[in-house]
Amino acid sequence: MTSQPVKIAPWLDAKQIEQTIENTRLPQPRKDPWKYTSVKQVLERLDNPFDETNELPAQNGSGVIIGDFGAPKISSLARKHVNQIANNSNNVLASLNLLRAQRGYAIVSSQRNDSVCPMVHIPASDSCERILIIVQEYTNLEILEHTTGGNRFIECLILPGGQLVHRRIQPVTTHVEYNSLTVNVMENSSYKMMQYSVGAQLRRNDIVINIEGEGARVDVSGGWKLADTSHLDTQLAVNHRAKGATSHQKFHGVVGDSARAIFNGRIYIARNAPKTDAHLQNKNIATSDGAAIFTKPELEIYADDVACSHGATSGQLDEQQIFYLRTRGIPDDRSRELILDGFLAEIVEHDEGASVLGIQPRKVDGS
Amino acid sequence: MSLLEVSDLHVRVADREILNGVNLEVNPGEIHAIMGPNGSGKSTLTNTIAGQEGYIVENGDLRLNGTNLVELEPEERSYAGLFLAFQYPVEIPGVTNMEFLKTAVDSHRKQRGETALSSVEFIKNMRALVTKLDFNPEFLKRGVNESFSGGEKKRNEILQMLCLDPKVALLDETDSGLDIDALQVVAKGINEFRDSNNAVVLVTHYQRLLNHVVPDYVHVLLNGTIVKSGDASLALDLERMGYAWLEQDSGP
Repeated sequence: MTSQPVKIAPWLDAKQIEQTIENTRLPQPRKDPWKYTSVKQVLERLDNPFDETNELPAQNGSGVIIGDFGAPKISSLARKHVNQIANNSNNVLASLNLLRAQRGYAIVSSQRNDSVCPMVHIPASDSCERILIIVQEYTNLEILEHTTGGNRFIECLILPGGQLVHRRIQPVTTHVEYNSLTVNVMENSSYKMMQYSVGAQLRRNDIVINIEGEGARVDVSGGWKLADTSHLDTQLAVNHRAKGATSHQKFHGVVGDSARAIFNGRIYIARNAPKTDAHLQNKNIATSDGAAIFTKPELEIYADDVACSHGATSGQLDEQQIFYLRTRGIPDDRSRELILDGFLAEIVEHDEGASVLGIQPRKVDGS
Repeated sequence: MSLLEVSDLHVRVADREILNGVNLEVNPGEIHAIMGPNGSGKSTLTNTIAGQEGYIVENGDLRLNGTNLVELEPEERSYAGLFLAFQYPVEIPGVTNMEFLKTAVDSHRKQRGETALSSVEFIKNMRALVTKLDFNPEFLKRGVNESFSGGEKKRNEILQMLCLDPKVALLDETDSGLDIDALQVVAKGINEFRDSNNAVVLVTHYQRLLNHVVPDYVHVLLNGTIVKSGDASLALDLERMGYAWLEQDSGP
């Protein structure tokens, strides 16, 4: 923390501040969900006050309103939803973010989803940020987000029939970074998220997706390629609380040198969520003896008539695959690279993801 | 000079000696078939020639076009002109067949001091080849052998062989698991490939591929050595009589 007096978020009333401080608990160290990442270290290193010079995100195309929580078209939505979508009563980082964020902004879509989808870029920032995203009924929106060291807190609500595509790019940074993302997905809406990460001193991504409406569709995929002493911890929870929804989660990771990758993927299916179709998969390849991978898929089902699967693997490169390529004249190092690139390419859907992961964009595809 | 020369080859895998003194000489323009029951050492022979790790050459010599293969890495053997069609082709998810083939061809070109082909040029060449072999062009866009049927995997091996244009092609049970149509396509590929400057060694269990690709020589591998060699009629004898009569001949 800085030695300057801490300004408390001006847009919170005294009661909210009091409640936040009162409810905040430090999580138990070395226990889930902070088993492999030190919460103490994150708190000590995550010294990022709000930067007042930060500009609002740029938008490409019409059909979006972006403004401070206090702005005329935003303030009523902000009062209604900020700190309401995410349930952070026991998350000290969330409380810290809430109290320190001097300003927050909202992104509200208004473009009907049969018209061209507007795109909003949330730039990287090493400050404390609080963002509200509202996808209004039957509208669509695309978010491109960059993160590099900071305490960013996103709450997102996708109203019935809304569609959100969210691409998150996490480039190399020497900072400590904490990202919290909570998405509430309503009836017949869809949320598609792709997250691509490379090294950071310590990067923690908490992602909670609550399916609150029938027939919603959630598709989350991601990949990481970690080197040096990078530390990446992704905690994903998908909560099915309405019937007939679909969620697919797929993550592939390559971990080298002395890097550590932690992935916890949890699917929860409430009693009132029959006809759920939920699948989660995480595969990892370690490319060095010093690399560490901790992955745990979890499935908790209280409803009948659901189709679910989950799985996680960690292993090394397959020697038979390498031999096969080498017999075709592809040198050993290039063979390894090709196999790893292919493994990551399976979860990459656009050039920006390929570029941050340092893999070849799919140029030679026979088309 | 013969293209492939295997002399007195002894090979150990872990603690077991699998090949004990194999001799084989393959000259330009020839097709050889190696037959033998399961466990006789057929795959050990092909894997050893291709340079698979764990196959230890205890004694003997392996030469391709005069080059000693024993000390070479698998990719160097490929540059020397060797190709192995795998019995079980390996899946490489996420790498398209086109990308794989281009990387392989470019690696060979680089080795010869030539520049890489442009993607456009390469794709054009591949399309022509695929059409000639009656393959579905979609084949090229899919992941390498990824969810290919058994027949598609074997066709893909033939495609790679034609792309790389080796001096010696070893085909390890390329005919097994194929239906009649796929067998004909594979045979067509082999006949397309062969000319007076290269050679083909077919490792097979069955006579049926040999109806479409007629070998000049047939060898029987039994308990790690070649116990009998003959012309194409030997394959017909084996089909009729099995291997038991040879086993008695080669007894201790």
